[in-house]
Amino acid sequence: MRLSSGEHRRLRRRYKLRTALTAYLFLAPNLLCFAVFLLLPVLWLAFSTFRTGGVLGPAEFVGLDNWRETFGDPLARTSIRNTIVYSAMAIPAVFVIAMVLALALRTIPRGGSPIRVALYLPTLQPTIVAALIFTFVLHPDFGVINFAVRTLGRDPINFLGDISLALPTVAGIEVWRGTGFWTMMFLAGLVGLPHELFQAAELDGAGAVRRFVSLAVPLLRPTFYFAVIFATIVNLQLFDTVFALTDGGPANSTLTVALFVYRSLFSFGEIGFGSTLSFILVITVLALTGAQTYLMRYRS
Amino acid sequence: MAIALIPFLYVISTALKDTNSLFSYPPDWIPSPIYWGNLRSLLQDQPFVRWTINTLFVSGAVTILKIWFDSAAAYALAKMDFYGKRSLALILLLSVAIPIAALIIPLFFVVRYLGLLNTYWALILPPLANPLGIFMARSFITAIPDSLPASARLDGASEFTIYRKIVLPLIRPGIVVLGMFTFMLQYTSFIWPLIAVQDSSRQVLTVGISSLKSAFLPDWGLLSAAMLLAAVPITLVFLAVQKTFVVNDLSGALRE
Amino acid sequence: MPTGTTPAIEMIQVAKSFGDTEVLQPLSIAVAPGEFMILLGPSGCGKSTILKMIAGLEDLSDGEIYVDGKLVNYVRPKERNVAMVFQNYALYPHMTVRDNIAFPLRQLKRPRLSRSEINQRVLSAAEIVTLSDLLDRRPAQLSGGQRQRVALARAIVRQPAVFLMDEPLSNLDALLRAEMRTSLLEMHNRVGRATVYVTHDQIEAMTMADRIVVLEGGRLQQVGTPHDLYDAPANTFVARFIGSPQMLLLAAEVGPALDVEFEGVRLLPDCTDGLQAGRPATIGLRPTGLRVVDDGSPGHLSGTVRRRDYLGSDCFVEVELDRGRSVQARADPARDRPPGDTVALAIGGEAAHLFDDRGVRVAGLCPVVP
Repeated sequence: MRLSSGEHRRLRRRYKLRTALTAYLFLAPNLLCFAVFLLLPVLWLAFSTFRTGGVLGPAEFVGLDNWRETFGDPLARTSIRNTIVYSAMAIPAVFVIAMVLALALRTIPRGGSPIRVALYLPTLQPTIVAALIFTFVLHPDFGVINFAVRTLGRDPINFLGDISLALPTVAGIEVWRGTGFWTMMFLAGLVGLPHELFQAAELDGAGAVRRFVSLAVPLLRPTFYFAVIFATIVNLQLFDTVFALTDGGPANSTLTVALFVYRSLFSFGEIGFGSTLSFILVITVLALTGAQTYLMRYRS
Repeated sequence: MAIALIPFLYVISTALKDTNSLFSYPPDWIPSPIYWGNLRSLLQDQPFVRWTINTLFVSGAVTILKIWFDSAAAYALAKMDFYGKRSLALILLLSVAIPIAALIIPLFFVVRYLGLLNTYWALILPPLANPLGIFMARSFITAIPDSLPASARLDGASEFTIYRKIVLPLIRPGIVVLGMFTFMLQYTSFIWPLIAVQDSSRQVLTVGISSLKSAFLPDWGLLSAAMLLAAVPITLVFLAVQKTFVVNDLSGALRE
Repeated sequence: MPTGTTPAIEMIQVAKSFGDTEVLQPLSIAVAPGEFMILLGPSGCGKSTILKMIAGLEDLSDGEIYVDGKLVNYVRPKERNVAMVFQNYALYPHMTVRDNIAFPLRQLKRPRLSRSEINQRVLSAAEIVTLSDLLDRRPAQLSGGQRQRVALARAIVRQPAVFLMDEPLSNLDALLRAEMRTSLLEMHNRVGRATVYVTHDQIEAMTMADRIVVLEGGRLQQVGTPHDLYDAPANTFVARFIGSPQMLLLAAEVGPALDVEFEGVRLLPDCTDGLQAGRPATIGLRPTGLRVVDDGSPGHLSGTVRRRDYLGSDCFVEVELDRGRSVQARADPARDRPPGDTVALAIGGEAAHLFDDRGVRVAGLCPVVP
């Protein structure tokens, strides 16, 4: 070799640095936004869980007080419980409905397109619009549903004003909104499955249910992993619907974590609790995403 | 299908009739005569047109910037080699799902510190931080065989030329999906605009509509008209790109 | 390689490893200006890695590469002045043939080419590969052979210092491949630039190369002209990789007189350096050098025909020798040798080789006529 190894090292470092520079130039606009509007807020959040103070007042370091008080605070605990209960109702419901619809749609080869568009319409609407639509539909005085109830000779149901009914109703609205999205997702998964396998199973005399349980379900496992985790992440942030419909009421029965965080910023004037709860949300989401990445990479 | 559509029909019918006849029993499904008062007062007495323009402007700006930023970053991640690539990709991947709803408190302070509260920038910049689009774009770019950019490099093309002249044209269908997805997310976003902008003239549709409701006695006819009109642009956009918009791309994006 | 000229490509102690796995052991090769050099070996032997390292698409772990006397290790691919034809052609699918070929020209910055000059050079490149009629088509509308020619035109249009080709013919059918071999060589002679060509097909290598580099398992086996490789394979790997039908390898032992014995025939090495009596060795027999003759005389092998492969211009027969081993041999295609015939085999001049116990060639072998 004509160059000394020291020279090679120097030249190589310079060359690598130059390639890296080009690459980071491509990444720069994105990373800048990422750093300022995502990374910085997350770090700020982690830091502020150990501080007290309001939007206007001075902040001081309080150690773990926020954590202790947040978990001791009845409202914060209610919001966590509501969020979990809500997710436990909404996610399984939307999955079952979407799966059934996807299976049905798969058998419609042509002309299914208008149905798909119709199914997708609710998903397209801003949550806030969807929520308002249901204020109408569910209104005790002039809502369609209560019109039906009255026709049957019963007293109108105050869906959003009843402590035990409000949260399930909110879940129902979110199911209505999410069905289109998840149907399309499952449909895409089903369509992507190898057709020959199902034909072979049919020839072997396997019934429709059996074909679904022992063929489609295992093959769709990656889609399910994604769906469960993605849906959980989305539902943990439930805000728009409850903000517009119930504002957390009645009697805090629909107070969600996100709504609690929002209020802590504007209503409570004390952001310690809100930050702590936000941070818990971020950690939960990070853990779920980590699990998702792990499952995608090593299980399928 | 009926369950999906009936609420919309109800809204359309409410929007086109006098608020007083709303309480008639049994309800009239088909308003006669058609009452245009709700739509007129929405467009004349409320800054509804302004909100719509704001929403389209903000969503459009976010969509265009995001397509540009994300596809450029995705190109670097998919087809270049550089120091720190793996750890960077991992950090971005983990941050994919961090919700804006969880970050509103610190975001509020960051945006306030930058003096951007109450500006369009406050609505446009934070959504650009989410890296999900990078991974969607990366899955499209990964599908391009390595030999194409390699060949272009040997042909003397700069990385920027390869990105502009080879990569972008080849992932156009994917870009439409990413664009539609971004636009939709932006069009429907609520919690962040609610916090970032107070000035009614800079407000977006979702927040504007919800402010119509906050009146002590809501004008249901007016609200329905607003919802009806708000649904139109996004539905049109969706119908226009419906064929290329396959939801599955989202799950493919996260599969390594 | 004539002394005094700068090699078109010079590789000095070039090596590649990923972590602990060595993909390529240190290797030094020089390619002369205008030379057609072929890298030959089975898949995974490291030949494509070498090509990518010359192109700058892969880093070197160690060593230096010079193109036209200039160190290119730390030069970006776009500045190396090399053109490459990829196995999958790597045509830009959204561009017409014309734009594909013009692409490298449009990247030239100093001096920037005028539109008419680009056009003219595209036309002349298209003419060399006979594509003039298809300039406005897109790659998807072309046949495999046509795509191949677009890739070639795109490579020659810029007149680079060096051409690199990565199995450019492997996606074509046999007939087209033979045809493209000829036109590739014609093009090479016309352009006159050094070419490094990767293939796993020994026929391609033998018919096209000025020199062949044989690689296996990331290790250089032999560098030489097709004649060198055929007449004096450096080891048993090269011996079996080159030539069809394959060379037959038979275990033997070096005799007391530094000779070897095969089926009753004594074979004498033409060089005895390093030979030791009693050591195991390998005899290699090329079927093409074993000739079927009518009657045996001393120094000939004898046996019975078991099978024959008539090829028209040639005829190979499988002969079971008297002591039970089978060999392939060449017969006069004009004379039928049905199975069951008793025949004798003459061992031709360069048909037999002797390899030592490590598989390295020691000598050629000649039959001894007692």
